[in-house]
Amino acid sequence: MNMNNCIKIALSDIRKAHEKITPHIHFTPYFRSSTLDLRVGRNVFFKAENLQKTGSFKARGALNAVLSLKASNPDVHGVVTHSSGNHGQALAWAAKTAGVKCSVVVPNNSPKIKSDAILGYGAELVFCEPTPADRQATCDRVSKERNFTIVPPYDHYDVIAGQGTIAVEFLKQVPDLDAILVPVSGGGMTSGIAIAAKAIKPDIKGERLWPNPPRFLNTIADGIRLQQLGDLTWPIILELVEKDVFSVKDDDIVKAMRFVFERMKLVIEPASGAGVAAVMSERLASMDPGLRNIGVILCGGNVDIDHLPWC
Amino acid sequence: MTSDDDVVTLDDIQQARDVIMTSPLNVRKTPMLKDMTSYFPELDQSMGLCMKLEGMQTTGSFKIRGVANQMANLPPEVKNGTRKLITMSAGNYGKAFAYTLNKLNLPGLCLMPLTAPSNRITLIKSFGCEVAVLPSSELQSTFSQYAAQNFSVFHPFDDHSFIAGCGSIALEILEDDVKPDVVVVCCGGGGLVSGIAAGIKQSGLTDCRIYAVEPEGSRTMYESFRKGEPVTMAVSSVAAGLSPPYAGKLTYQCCRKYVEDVILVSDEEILNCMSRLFHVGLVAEPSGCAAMAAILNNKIPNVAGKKVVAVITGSNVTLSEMTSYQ
Repeated sequence: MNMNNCIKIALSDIRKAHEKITPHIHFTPYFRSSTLDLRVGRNVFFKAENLQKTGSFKARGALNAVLSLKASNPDVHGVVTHSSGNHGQALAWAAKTAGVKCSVVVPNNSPKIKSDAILGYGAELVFCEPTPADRQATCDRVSKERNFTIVPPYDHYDVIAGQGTIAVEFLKQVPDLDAILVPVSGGGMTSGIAIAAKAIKPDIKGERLWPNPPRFLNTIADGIRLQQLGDLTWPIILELVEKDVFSVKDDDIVKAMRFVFERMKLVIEPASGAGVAAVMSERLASMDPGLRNIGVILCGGNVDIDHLPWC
Repeated sequence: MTSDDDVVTLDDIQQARDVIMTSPLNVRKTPMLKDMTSYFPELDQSMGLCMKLEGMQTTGSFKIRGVANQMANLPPEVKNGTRKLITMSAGNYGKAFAYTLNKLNLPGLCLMPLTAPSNRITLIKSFGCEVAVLPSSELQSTFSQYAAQNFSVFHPFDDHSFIAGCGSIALEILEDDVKPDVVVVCCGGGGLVSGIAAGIKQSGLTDCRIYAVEPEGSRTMYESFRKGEPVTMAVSSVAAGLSPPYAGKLTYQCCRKYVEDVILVSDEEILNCMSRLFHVGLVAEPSGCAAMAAILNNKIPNVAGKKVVAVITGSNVTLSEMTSYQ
């Protein structure tokens, strides 16, 4: 299959990543809902990354990056990143797993439950303003001050390869997937999945979705507030992902989260609700009926029970 | 393997499974999550933990399996609607019962205690099932009166067909290629643990240990084991679904034969478990958490290096109920 020269990750990198991280992560299950299948007229499969270590898929990319870093540089001082929550938690856990120090730069409006979890893994918290510019600047400063290596949330080949392992598992579990819906923020999961899935099953369609057109969003989906595709992730998504984009509103996200809690008995965070909302949308209903088997990534389940958006 | 004193046979269970899976009630094979030990770092990691998620069953609990089998042989006067079906339940059994009547377009009456939450009463009524709300002390006697007057009554747990229907879970565990050393099951009236225990043991796994888990405040089976006969006693627990005021005659008999022991957990242990499962990403109601609570608090003996199956029996809890327990 022809890959753009900018795409420097192959399926083999993703398979290697899977071997490296498998002893430490969960090979997550998938779930189905016959109620939902009936409602949308397709077979929907939900990859439960909400059940992953640290409560989101980010554990995969973070761990692959840290293990690769340690392998190539055994004297690494530590790692640092900026994150609205899940990547920070994942990196803190990955660093602890690999025996490496960690600092995490966190926007000052991040849910407390996410910043508490980062502390729980023994990492240091550094707060910043909730802007893309200040996230990066603070991260750079900490990196210099402590001589820590930056592990970004998505724009890093080892991180992308780690996230791609989701597709390796998913296609093993459900070889006949026709399409995969992926919530997108920085694009790490979308690009990783796109590379793996297209290599394993070339005719598969990867659909990306986000709450509203790109920027720094005021949305309840705090995991995908930052809408800024990266230098590495953008060319991959441009090349491999369908040009259709699903946009879902906060209202739909809340309805979807409630459906998943009350009917599927799973706990998911708003960013995951975006995926479920997309599958329930009129947009999907109007798509090619030949897309029978739809995969949806439930990317995370880190929510504060006292702050769920319905009661 | 089986004898005259068996409440249900493997044959009964297999037949029940065929009946319930082909019924129009949409009973499902539920997910079995394997290799779950590492989700709970506090556990002995040499244990192989599997979780059977019956909370994901139609109507949100395992009860539909029992109800679906109870519905298999309805007398003609019930089928044609002249006589209504009667049961008693404040919770999940009532929901499964009402759902079933609605699907089969049959009239029915559910006796409920005054202590039942109003949303449960509303829910059961919403299926088109009649409801009579009585003081808890009158529930059993009213039910017995209906039975004596030849009404078609469904006992919510002390019933051969119900127990056999629940036993279908044992078949799924074994067919999922899980050869368990230990199976841990929540115990209220004992219908579920009876069916599962009979199914596992009569399938040839004679060394498999089955544990029933009850709340400390609703320990009817525990006391029945100690007394040597089914007991009636005052009960109280946050796990309302595990708190009928007596152990059944049939369920006691079946448990006596096939269940290793009855383990007790506190309300606090139950609620902490519910919270743990929420953080893992799974929704379970307090009554559904008892078995897992026993495992998490190291109350199941001899599990190192063993394959342990925990049954999560129900997930009918609203978000506001969950937060109110905090």
